Amino acid sequence: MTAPPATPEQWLQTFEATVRARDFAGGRTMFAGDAMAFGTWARAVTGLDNIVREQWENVWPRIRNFRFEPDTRVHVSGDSAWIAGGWLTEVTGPDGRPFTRPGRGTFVLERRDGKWLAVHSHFSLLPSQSETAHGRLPGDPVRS
Amino acid sequence: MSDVRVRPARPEESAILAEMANDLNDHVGVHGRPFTPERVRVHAFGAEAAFTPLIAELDGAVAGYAFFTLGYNTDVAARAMWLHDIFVTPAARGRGVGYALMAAVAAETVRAGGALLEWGVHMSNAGALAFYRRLGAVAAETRILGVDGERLRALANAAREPAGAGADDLDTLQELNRNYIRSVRMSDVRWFEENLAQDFLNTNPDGSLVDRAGFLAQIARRGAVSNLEAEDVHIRMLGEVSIIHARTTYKRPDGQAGAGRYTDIWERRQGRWLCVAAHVTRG
Repeated sequence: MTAPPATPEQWLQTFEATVRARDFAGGRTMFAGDAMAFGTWARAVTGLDNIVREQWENVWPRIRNFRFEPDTRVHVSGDSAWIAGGWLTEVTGPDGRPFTRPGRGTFVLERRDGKWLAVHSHFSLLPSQSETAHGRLPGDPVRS
Repeated sequence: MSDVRVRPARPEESAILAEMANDLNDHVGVHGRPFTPERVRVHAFGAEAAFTPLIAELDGAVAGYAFFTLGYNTDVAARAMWLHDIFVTPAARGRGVGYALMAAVAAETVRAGGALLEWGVHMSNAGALAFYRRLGAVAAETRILGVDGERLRALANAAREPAGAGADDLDTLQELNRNYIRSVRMSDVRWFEENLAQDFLNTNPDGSLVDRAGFLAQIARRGAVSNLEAEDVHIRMLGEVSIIHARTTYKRPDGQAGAGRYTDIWERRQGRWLCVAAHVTRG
């Protein structure tokens, strides 16, 4: 069994890998049950079950190679932390060709019982990026 | 003559109980069908069950149910039974099933030492109101209020704050949030100079990430939108850190109405709340 991320930096690395693997079960262990998410697919979702169903399940299968940019800021304050930075993904455009789509993300984490959990996430696409460019990538596995 | 029988529900009846409870919700206009067999199994039959379920049978077939929990009424300082749900399937109505269920719950109330049996009713449910009047039930001069979802969590989070901090901090943060919006609208650079942390970071709607100096410069230039307002503001306290998030409405340069969202992160430093990060999205 993999140990939970010990720091917010490790949390972010684990989250990137979790999204890339479309590991919804793994993602669930990284968010609080009462988390709230502002997203690129669903505008605002409260509660982990709703976040998985309305946000992750609509986005993760359609993106590849999700990663935050190296200059992403991480700040820790006691049992709270926040992360803000740019991210990149590869998606399929309306013409079927892959392209890299940038966006911005902010997380707020809280350490509960020694474990860092996201309690709030805010994802946004750059305005120039079409939200319709969510072509499902063929042949990619989805874990549930 | 029809044979009505009321008995304790069994765990293997969780599916039909969930179906009937969802049907009752639909009947009174509460949509979403939140009951699942698993929820009924846990909440009615689990180790820490939340209510007791009864089943009514008519001629040997399931025809209705009741959920109830023993509680307390401080008006009379005595135990009281709270009836969550009573439901009779449409085909079985008018044949004494509802009365039999109410009688069974009343018997449970007396057996448990309860002084009264209480329940709520949707005022739009005319059939139920007539039925309860026939039972001799009287309406209390109270209304049932509730908080749920994010409002419940915000209230619960306030309880986790150090004594004396919760309410005052919420008031302070609400005021800071109002002033934040006002200062964007009014290009009040000075307010931001006083209330942004030195390491403040802002994610702009265009995707650019600016530091404190960059943000102050763009405030001084006045934004492209006007009539900015925040709605549905939520404040979540996490000890010395707080999240404020809200929807926004504004007028675009072309005069069209716009809408967006923001997440502001505040931190208490040396006893004072400072905004340390913000993420703004505009649709």
